[in-house]
Amino acid sequence: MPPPILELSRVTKHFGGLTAVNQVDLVLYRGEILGLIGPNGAGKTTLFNMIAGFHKPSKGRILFKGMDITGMKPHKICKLGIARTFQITKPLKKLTTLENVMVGALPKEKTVPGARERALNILKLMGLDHRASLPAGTLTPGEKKRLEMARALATDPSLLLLDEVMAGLTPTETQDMLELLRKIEAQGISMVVVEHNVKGVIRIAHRMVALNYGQKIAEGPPHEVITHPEVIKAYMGEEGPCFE
Amino acid sequence: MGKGKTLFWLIPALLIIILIPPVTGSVTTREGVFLILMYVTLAVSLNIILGYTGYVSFGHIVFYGIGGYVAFYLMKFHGIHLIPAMIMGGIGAAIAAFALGEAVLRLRGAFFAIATIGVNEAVKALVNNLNFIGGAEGLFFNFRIYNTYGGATKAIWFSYYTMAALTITTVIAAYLIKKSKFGLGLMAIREDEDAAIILGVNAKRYKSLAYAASALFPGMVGAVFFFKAGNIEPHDAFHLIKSIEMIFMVMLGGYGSVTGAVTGALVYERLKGFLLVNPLFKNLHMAISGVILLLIVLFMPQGIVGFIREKSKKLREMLE
Repeated sequence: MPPPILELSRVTKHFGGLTAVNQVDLVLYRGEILGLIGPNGAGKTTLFNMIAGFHKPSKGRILFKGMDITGMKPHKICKLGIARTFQITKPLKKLTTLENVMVGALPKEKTVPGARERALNILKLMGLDHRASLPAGTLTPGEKKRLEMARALATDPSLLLLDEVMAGLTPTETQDMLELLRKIEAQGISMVVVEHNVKGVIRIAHRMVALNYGQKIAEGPPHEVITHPEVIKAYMGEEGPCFE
Repeated sequence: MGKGKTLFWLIPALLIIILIPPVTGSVTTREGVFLILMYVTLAVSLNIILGYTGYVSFGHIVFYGIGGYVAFYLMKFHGIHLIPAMIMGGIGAAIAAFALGEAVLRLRGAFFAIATIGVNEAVKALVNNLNFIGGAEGLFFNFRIYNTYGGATKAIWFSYYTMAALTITTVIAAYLIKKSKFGLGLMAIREDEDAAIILGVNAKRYKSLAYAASALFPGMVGAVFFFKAGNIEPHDAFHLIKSIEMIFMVMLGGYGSVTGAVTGALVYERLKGFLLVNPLFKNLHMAISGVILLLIVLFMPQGIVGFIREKSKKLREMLE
């Protein structure tokens, strides 16, 4: 088994009286794609926010490549090699698509022309090169999702946190996105994929983790996790599927 | 992204304006152009924090006042020449901005704008009560100070050329910042600060540095202006109306664009001149400016230059 790239131990986050994430342990191995599922409010995005440095965990530790990154500033975590996308895309609307990706490339590239070069290559990979000189605000929702990915890739990550990259995409776009994820996987980048689109995520994830009310309720191979009684209960309610 | 196309016409255009007074020898024109240059420098500087970074520094005139006081003090009590005093004034303003920035730049949107007004008023109140720099009455030059420059007349011409050099430097610096890694990071912060941070932009540091850069040149402008005036007092140095004028110029011309800030300053100077000499409007010029600002924000938020940039792809690279 390859060495772990990300280790979470007993990570907890309280917001006032609400415990959004409760004592979650999680290990991600190098080159692995981990699917993270769970109903609304399960704590998936909060978990992402803590790994990326947006929230400081109330308790617990986060190790990246063996280094403690708990409570570190987001821009530092980014430089270490963790990139994330946002569920609601955050394009830099008035900047061009190219400039958007250049922003991501800048911390690693010393010069502006170097960043432009790198950004152009990534736009080609993402099939967005024909949009390079347009303001990012004018892209379609599907293109904005790809732009989020492109920017994240521009930071040269070894771990990619993807928050609902398939949500709201048409079936064709979903297909394209899956192919894209396989290309990224081939580059040796590890991924944590948060998805509502369970059908999409089981086709790509090596392993899955299910959360509910901030707690881990199941972990294992994708098909095992989605048929786990706790997971079905979390999605369908106590009585089991009501359409039975 | 064009390679310096904007500067190729903008700098010669400014040089032509600068050369009008010495060529014609007209003192009235010199005063007018001095004011234009001052406005241009202030607007282009404010644009770094307001236009590039998206933080509305409402009390920006505080840095003009700080620079003015630092330089005036050094010239009056230590006999320091205008040029080094001006640089010290600028650096003083920039340091003040950096330090303030670490505190107030945590605030976003309207909260930041209000905090900067508070800073300006607080500094004004402080200076009013500091006796070693003249308190409410301010400081006056002994006219012998101008002898170093060959008498009062020559000293005024000297301050004119200093202002001209300062304006050109500011425009070039603002352009280079916009085209740099730093500038791209600032614009990313303006568009979406959270996204910028996640992409590795050290937003906190970038904002403080942008604030310092946008305070440096106004500090130097204050130094030159009060050297020429021969006296400095808190009411003049920290006049909130001047702050509002600066914002007006940036918004009118087009925030985020160097050409926009320059254009806004030129148009505002003409507009103000027209309104002030017109008996019908002379007491209403701020009210009219306010209405115009409202109309810009509502119907042309990108300003004059921003509007042209949107309409014409060809001109875009010329109007950075």
